[in-house]
Amino acid sequence: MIDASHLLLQSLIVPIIASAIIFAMGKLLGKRVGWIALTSLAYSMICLVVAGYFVHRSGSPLQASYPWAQLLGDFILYLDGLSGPVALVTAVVGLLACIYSIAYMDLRDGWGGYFSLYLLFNAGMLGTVLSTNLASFFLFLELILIASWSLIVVWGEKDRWRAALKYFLYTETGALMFLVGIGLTYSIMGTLNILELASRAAGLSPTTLSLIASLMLVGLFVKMAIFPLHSWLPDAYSAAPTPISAILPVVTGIGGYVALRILYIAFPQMIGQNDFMIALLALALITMIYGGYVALAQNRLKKLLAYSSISQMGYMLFGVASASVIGLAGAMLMYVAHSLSKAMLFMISGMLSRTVGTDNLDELGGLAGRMRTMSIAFMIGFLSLMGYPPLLGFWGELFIFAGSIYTALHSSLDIPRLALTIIAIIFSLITAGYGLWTIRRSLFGEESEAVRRAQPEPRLMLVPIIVSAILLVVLGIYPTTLTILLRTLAPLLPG
Amino acid sequence: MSLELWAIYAWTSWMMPLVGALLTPLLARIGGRARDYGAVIFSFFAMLTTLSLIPLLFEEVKWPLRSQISWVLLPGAPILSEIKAGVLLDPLSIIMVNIVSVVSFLIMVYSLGYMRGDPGLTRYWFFMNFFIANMLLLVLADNLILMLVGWEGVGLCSYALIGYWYRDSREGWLHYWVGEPPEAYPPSHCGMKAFMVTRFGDLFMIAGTLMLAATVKTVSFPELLHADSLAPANLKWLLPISLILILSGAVGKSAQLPLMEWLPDAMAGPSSVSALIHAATMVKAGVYLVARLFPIALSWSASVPTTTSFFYAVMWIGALTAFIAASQAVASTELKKILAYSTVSQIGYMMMALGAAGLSTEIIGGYVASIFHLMNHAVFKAALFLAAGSIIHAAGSRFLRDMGGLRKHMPITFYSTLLAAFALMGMPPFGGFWSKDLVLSMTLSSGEYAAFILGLVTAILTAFYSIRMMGLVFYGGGKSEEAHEAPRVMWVPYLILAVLSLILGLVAPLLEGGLEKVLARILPVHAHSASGALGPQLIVPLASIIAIVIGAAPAYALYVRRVKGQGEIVERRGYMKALRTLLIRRYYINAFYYKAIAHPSIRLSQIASKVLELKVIEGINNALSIGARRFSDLIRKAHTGVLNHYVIGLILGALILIMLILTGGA
Repeated sequence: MIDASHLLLQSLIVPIIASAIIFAMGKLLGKRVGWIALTSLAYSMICLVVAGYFVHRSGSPLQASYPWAQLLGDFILYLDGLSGPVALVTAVVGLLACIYSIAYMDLRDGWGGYFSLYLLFNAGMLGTVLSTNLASFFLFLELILIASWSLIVVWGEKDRWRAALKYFLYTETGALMFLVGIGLTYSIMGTLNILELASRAAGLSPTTLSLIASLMLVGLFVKMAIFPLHSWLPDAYSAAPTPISAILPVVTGIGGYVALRILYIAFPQMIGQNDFMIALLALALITMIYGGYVALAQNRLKKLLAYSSISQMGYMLFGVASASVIGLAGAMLMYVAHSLSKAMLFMISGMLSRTVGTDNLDELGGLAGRMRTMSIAFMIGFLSLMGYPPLLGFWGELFIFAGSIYTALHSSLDIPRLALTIIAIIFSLITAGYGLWTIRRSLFGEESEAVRRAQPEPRLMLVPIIVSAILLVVLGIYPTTLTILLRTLAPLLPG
Repeated sequence: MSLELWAIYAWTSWMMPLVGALLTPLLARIGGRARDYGAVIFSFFAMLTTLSLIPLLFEEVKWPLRSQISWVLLPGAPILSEIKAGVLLDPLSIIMVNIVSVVSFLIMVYSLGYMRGDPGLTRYWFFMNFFIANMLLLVLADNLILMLVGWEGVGLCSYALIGYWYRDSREGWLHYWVGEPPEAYPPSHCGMKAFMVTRFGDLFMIAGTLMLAATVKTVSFPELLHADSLAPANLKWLLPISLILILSGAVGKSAQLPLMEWLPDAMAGPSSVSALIHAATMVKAGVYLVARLFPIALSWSASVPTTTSFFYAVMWIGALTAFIAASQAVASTELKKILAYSTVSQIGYMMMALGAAGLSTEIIGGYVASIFHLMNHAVFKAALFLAAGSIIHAAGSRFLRDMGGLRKHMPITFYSTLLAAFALMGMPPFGGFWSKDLVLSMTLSSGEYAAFILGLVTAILTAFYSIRMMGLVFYGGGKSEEAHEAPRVMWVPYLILAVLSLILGLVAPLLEGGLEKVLARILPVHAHSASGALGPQLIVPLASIIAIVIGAAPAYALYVRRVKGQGEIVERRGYMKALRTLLIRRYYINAFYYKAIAHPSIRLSQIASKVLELKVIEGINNALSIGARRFSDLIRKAHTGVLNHYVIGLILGALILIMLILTGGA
């Protein structure tokens, strides 16, 4: 019997080793570095699949601790019902975007640097998701930031310096706030292990707890681009090279995932503080609506997708604020659905920039007749975003709202929460609005001049797009694949 | 009792067309004929399986029959911890799936001729079969969540098929667009509109479903029946509110007031689509949902008296919609739009009957009236739409002003349309007569006289616009001399449907009795023969026949015999002109939605984007960065790049971390 716990470390280490190899021998390997990167990511994904299967079989979380700095505590990797699906999807999107990168970099230089940074970027994401030590958590967050910043600055599109700087300053400020929260946690509770915090925090005064949780959450809100801390996102998303744009929604979603971890696992006491949770709910609602309305006004597909991400992060925060395990499941599914659909849609926008020469919706039109596969995927992506069954996004939204309604109704009737939730449900029509309008402007109507001159799609770019579309459909039809692991979640969760 | 067999039939009935849809792109590789006939064959299989369910109706079965599998698991969740996928068979669902599958099959056959040569046929067959699958799933689903999947699935197909001719070409606007300028819309616009409006209703439905799930911990129909006892006492008042929220979904899907505006524009799709989705089946989903919820609401009204508000809402929405839509049909200038308004109006009848049934003692009568009318309407309206497809093809335009005198050129179409129009008017002995009569008399016996009067006026208007349509299309001077009869593969389906609408009328007394007997078994009341007071039983048929005469006679004189120029009557009187404009502009409800909701939303998004996002938030950003630079100048006395802030920040952060660790560790 193999020891499954080391699989987690392998999934993290292998891409890092590959990154080092690529960095050292990039010149020698030439264009093969893409395939090496791909192989290492595939290996990492397989490790996670097997680890996830073990978790499913045993019904208890998988934990691997390694001695680390004495002060900071052990370095622990942890796979349970929450981090499992999130890590897996992170790996899948990283893999798909790597395939896309190979096609994307075909016309560009600097392969070695790109793929070595790309692998570090992916390792950073996986590390963040799997860490339970707040210190390693923070380090991985910084790794994500540095790697993605470099990727944007070197391989980005126009205006990349300005966008990258904004990205850096914003998220770094957020990270620092998070760091202050970590510092307070450690000085007060004496541990950095998320799994131990819940019991240590039991005796704390609600004010102290709120202070710590707020500091961490506000830090995460920057990462999630919650209104009004969102303004780095549209610039960074649209200036990043397309494969990175495709992964950035995953990074943004990780912010939401961390918020779930912090609130539900580390400080479950906060869930009971109704005013606090209602404030989060209101913030989520504002972000949902604001992001949606601004997306509606965009002409560039990439910008539109970026604002749509802000709106979708509002949904995820709504799930965080639902104060219920149903909402937690919803937020987790939302993360998966949003990552897959947004990655796919960004890949499509990049593909259009290459084949049609523009991603400006005013210059597109009539694509449905020319690029069938792309059009089907495009529609699936937007339908999932708008929460249309049986696509995965439907379950995300359904459970997010179900969780909040349950909380509003179950012990005593909470009218403000009920009202906010119903408003949120109704306003999710905005997503349908900008989604359908985008579909109409790009796929339908007469073929535009630019579309008529379009080149055929690169096959390699279509592969990850098709795979994401299939995943959205298959996981949507049978979401139990993802939710079944929830039973391994710590039993201290509130209802 | 063949217990296993029925489950197999029920599951395969909706999976068949699904498989057909998925195979369409593969069959298309073999060839056009394989794809076309393959698609039709799968809908034929679906029909066979649903027909096999009919014998169950005559057996002594303990309804409902359920067959479930585990589907979505949410371990540890207090509600929705296990959502099952299950089929629910009871007389209502069996009747409904048969209506759907039989009409679908005939329309699929018609499509073989009607859509021949269209370049997008793979897409067409895919979405048609996908639609049938989702529609059957919707009907068979045993809980609200699974139903929602089918519900949104049919909505997607509706969207895709309304916008089937997505090129929106201006050259073909006589054919492919819908409406008169300034309310003329291209197909892709109409598809999007249908999606948005129905989705708006669906979102309320989702909210209602979740509220039910949270209060009574179940979303499956059989368990909801007595779920009122499960609701905590302080939340019981939420039950009727949840039902009314769910009703909003039905209102959207069935194009009832105030969400009716999408259906007239949905006529931009191919006529076969209008017949299948926007007349015979999908728009009935709302009625079906209300019928499904009906026994639940009835059983709840004992412990939660406010539940009757649900029935009031259903009845009044139905009555008002029936009247308003029928009045719009009177002035419509397009053939398919007459039929669309008529569909909305007739669905209003069905809703009215259901609402009235809940409010009267004649529960079973009103329930039967609604379902029977649904059945009749599916048959005659499908016939009318399919015939309209042939007519528009022959005339080369969707406008009535380009038609006329087609009776000589298209005799089979003429007689089919005539039969179906008689059924629509409620002429005895057609099916429509019996069901409409039952609708009206049940409304009367519920004591809601105002609704009854609205229903009667609607009958007058229905007779008028039906005859007007016949007159404008088939009588008068010929405008399209080279028009010819449609090919056989097209006229056979609508002739069958038209004749069926007559047969349904001939066997109506028998059928009504049978429906009453089987449907009574799913209602929480005991069946009793409709033996109400003799008064209404005589008055209502008489009144409705008089209504037909009042409506039909002037239309006959004006549009068939053409004793007077039709235009003159309107042109000479100012108020008539104003009225006509009001009706053609749909009481300005449509314009209001554009002006008050659609356009302001876009303007709001512009403001959010241009002012809030680019001015305010970017402004704050810039102010921050300028402030930071000043601050750094102050400290460093040197002008450096902004990047340095990061370095400062990082060092500062590291220092804080180290300090905290040290103090914590000490």
